[in-house]
Amino acid sequence: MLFNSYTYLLFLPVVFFIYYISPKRLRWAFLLLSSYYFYMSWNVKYATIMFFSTVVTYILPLFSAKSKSQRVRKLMLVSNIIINLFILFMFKYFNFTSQLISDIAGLFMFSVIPLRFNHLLPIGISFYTFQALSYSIDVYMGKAEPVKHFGKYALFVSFFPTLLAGPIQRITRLFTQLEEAKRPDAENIKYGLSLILWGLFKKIVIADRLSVLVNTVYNKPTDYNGMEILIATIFFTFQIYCDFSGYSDMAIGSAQVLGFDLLENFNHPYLAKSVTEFWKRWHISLTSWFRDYLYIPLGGNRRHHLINILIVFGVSGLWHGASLTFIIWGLLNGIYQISEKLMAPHSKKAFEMLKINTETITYRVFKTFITTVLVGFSWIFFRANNLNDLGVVLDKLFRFDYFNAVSFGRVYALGLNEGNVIFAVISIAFLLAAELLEERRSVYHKLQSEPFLTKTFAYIILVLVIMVFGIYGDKQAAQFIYFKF
Amino acid sequence: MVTNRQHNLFILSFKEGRLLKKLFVNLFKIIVALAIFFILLEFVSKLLTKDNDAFKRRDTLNSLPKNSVDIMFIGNSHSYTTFNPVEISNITGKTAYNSAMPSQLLDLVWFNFEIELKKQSPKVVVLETFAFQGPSQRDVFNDSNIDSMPFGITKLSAIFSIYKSSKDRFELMSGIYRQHGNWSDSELVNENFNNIVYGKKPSYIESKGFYDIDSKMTSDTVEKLKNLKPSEYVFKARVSDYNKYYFNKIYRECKKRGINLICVMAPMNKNYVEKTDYESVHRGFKALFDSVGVDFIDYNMLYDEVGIKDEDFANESNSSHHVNKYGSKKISEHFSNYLASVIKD
Repeated sequence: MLFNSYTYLLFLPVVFFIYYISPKRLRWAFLLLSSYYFYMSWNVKYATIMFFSTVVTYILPLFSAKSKSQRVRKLMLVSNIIINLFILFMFKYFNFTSQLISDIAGLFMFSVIPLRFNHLLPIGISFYTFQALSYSIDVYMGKAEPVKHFGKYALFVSFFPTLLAGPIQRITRLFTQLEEAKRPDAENIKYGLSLILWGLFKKIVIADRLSVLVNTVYNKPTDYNGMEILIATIFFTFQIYCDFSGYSDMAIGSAQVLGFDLLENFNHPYLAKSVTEFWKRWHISLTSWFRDYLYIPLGGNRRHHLINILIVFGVSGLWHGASLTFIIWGLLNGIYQISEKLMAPHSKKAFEMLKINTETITYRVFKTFITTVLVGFSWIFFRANNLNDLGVVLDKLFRFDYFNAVSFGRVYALGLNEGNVIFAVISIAFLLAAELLEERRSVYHKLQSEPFLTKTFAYIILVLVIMVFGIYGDKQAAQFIYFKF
Repeated sequence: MVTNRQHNLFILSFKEGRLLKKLFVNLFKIIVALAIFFILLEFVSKLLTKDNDAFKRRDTLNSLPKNSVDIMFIGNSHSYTTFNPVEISNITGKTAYNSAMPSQLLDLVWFNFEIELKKQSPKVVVLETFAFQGPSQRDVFNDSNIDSMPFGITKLSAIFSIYKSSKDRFELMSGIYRQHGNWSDSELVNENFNNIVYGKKPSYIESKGFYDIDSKMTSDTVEKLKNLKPSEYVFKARVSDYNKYYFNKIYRECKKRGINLICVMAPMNKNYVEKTDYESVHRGFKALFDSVGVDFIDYNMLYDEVGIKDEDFANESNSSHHVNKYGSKKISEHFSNYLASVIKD
């Protein structure tokens, strides 16, 4: 069940209503049932994998907390991590690793037939595994108490708004709320619905429209020239943001409607003035997970921090997908940040010498633009279907013959007609304007202070824009990009 | 004491009064917001909807003055290509209108009949029985038929009674779900905008719902029909439990309102009729209508009486199923004479 499907339009109000009227002591059980129903509506048998993971990450930290021996506790944690990562490895990385071994062996004239593990990747496995592991590590580190109630813990792992693609929650934040199970108030409902609407706008009006052109070009880059690839790359830069942040808004909004306050996942990343800042604003729940559970244990800023950055972003790339293109994408982002750190003192000196004022709007806009270009460039590695396609895309992009190759009419033959291309550009501009406003002051709170008719019209117009300009209807609801991770 | 207690039932405390006021204000705001939303949604839907015959027929029906129809024809294209209300009005002296909708089957006939009865009080209703099929499937005409219904209980009942999948129900409840992609068709949006602002003349107002087919069957079609093997054609219209259910609804509604219900079967090509087991189909209809005392005029059994000779089929039909204007003239005249004999002032 997708957030942008009509079944979810029925599911959420039903869950809300029953949750609202349920006695407090039963609310967790109802939410657990709803969450498993939500997951099983995609695939019944894969719910057993989530259940197994839940049992393991429930039992081992409980035993670990009872044990006084540090060795036993460590053993419990390591077993826990190995079991969960093994499941993740089998579904997500086994075929990739097997193929890689076969390819490497081939380079040395050995013939190794790659083994295959032919099962669908369970949706959300990377997300709920990381959420469950963060709990286990927090208990081991003494940052969280072990949860005694299995049902409530199972709800923490499977809570449907965060189940499929995050935001990855921490036990300390979400569990207390799940235990309290308070009824949502009017403010929760209003804010939650506003977030769902905004998320829907980003997903079905912007991301799904841009995806038509991006898929046309990136699924067969050999057929397109440098300009077309450049346009598709710019569109993808916004598609992936609107797709994933739209999903996150809907997830946070759905939880908010039920009275739960989730960790933010995006904070206007394309307004960042450096790649380092971008990563503080993009997929915050995953970045902070890697910071707390990988970067800091590796030594953080204390020792060889540049290597640590590279390792974290390499692993982050691998987390996103079992493909060399993702690993390169992660490493490239790591290299960007390392370069920024190395260049920072030199650029500061240079600016002082050249008397460049870094506080002006022009300079800040310039920095934001450069950051977006760098990040946009890295998305090429993320989006390319394989290394061959990546080579073709880079080759055509760096021929710099854009203006010789372009006939603007060709842009309208990439899956989107003229009206849709123009609308896509307008909607991106609208999105950026809204993000700029939001950076200064919450648009939601600003709207709440407006008279009744003004805000009613604003919401109605947004609903109508989604209904009229959304890409939906003929086919099934379009999947979210991050579901495959 | 008793008096005081009774008073307390009606007089609210200051706090309760404020809460009640807040509740009413919020309810009022919700109603206003929903009203604005639905008005704008209706406007936007009209802007984006591609016109077709179902919408044109509905527009004409909506434009009829209240209680202006004495004889109402219901059914599908078999009805509106066969029974010419203008001809029938001229002969009977009563106002007639053909409110049949394209391709609709008996389930949709019933729901549309229910809608028409909110505005019209006919004395005679003529149900064409080729519609005895169903349940209705999703197609452009049935979708448009439902889209053009005014939003209300009848529309929702039609959607929920006929269509069983939640996907179909959801899509049919919101016409914009299927039409929204038309926003980039500027010609359509402009035309619809002008129609909304300046209005447009209903298409069937002069013909009173009759569809005048001018063309005749091609010689190829005539030849094909002559050589048709029985296995190549299945006559779909027949009495079934599903159809009986909707027929009974129509019958009961007519009885309740004192409407004279008459059932008819428009003529089809003789070659078709002869090569199917039409006798048993006819017997099934006859038994059903006899059981409730409803007249049944089956024009496939009355070729001689109406004066349709073998050689006439080629010139008086447009296809195996539909008569053209020449065929319609014969049938309308015959049916008018029949009506004149049964209508009493």
